[in-house]
Amino acid sequence: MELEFIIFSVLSIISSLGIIFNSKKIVTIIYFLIFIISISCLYFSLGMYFVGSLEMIVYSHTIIVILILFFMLVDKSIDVSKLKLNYRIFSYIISLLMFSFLFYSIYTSNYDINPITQNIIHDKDIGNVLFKEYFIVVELSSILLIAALVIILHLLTNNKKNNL
Amino acid sequence: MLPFYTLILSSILFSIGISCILIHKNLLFILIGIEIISNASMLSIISATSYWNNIDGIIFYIIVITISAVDSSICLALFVLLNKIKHKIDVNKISEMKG
Repeated sequence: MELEFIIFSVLSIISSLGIIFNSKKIVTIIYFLIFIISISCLYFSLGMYFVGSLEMIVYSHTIIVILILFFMLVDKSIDVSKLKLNYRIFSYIISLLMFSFLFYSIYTSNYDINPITQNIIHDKDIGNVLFKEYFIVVELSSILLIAALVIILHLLTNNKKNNL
Repeated sequence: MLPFYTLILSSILFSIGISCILIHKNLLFILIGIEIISNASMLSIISATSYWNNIDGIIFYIIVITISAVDSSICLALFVLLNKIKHKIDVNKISEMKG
């Protein structure tokens, strides 16, 4: 389990760096797909099978397909536009400062050096908790999805009153 | 007691997502940076859940993943409307809008 964790963590870091430094669009989307798959494999190596399968279904089947359709049909520009070099170096310095602050706050805390403790949580327990104690979560997520559907239909139907 | 390596990995991914937001001009890649940041924060929460063998983090993960799906769909609808007006999806173009 530790070997799988190390391999997929290195793969996720490399693919997320490829999103930043690449200049072609579709290649960037494929890097994002590799990032999502490596994150879900990290969940599998931690023992969270339900979470890993949910991540794989939601991200790689909905969001990436929508992004590729958007690039094919709507956005006609060829390459990815970035900032100038001075501003880019400034943003790298900001992110390095953020990482150094986070590393300092983790390193000075009371941590455990053993990386992976694989505690398997079964799907039956999650279903029992979801539909007894946390039933409001299911209702809240369904209300959120219906609200998003209504908003998108209101935005994208051709209404002559709202001439933008 | 905290799990060390997963927290370091999630902090590295968080800083990479912040630099991805700051560098790009195209709005879709800013959306991808936000997705990277949400994935990094959820990785830290799920690692703590598996460390303490607790089930509440998974419920929290279900809420966050529905919110990210709703977020990306509404943002893409707004980008289609912006592309009708300006014929380009750029952050610098939004500052020229009236009202």
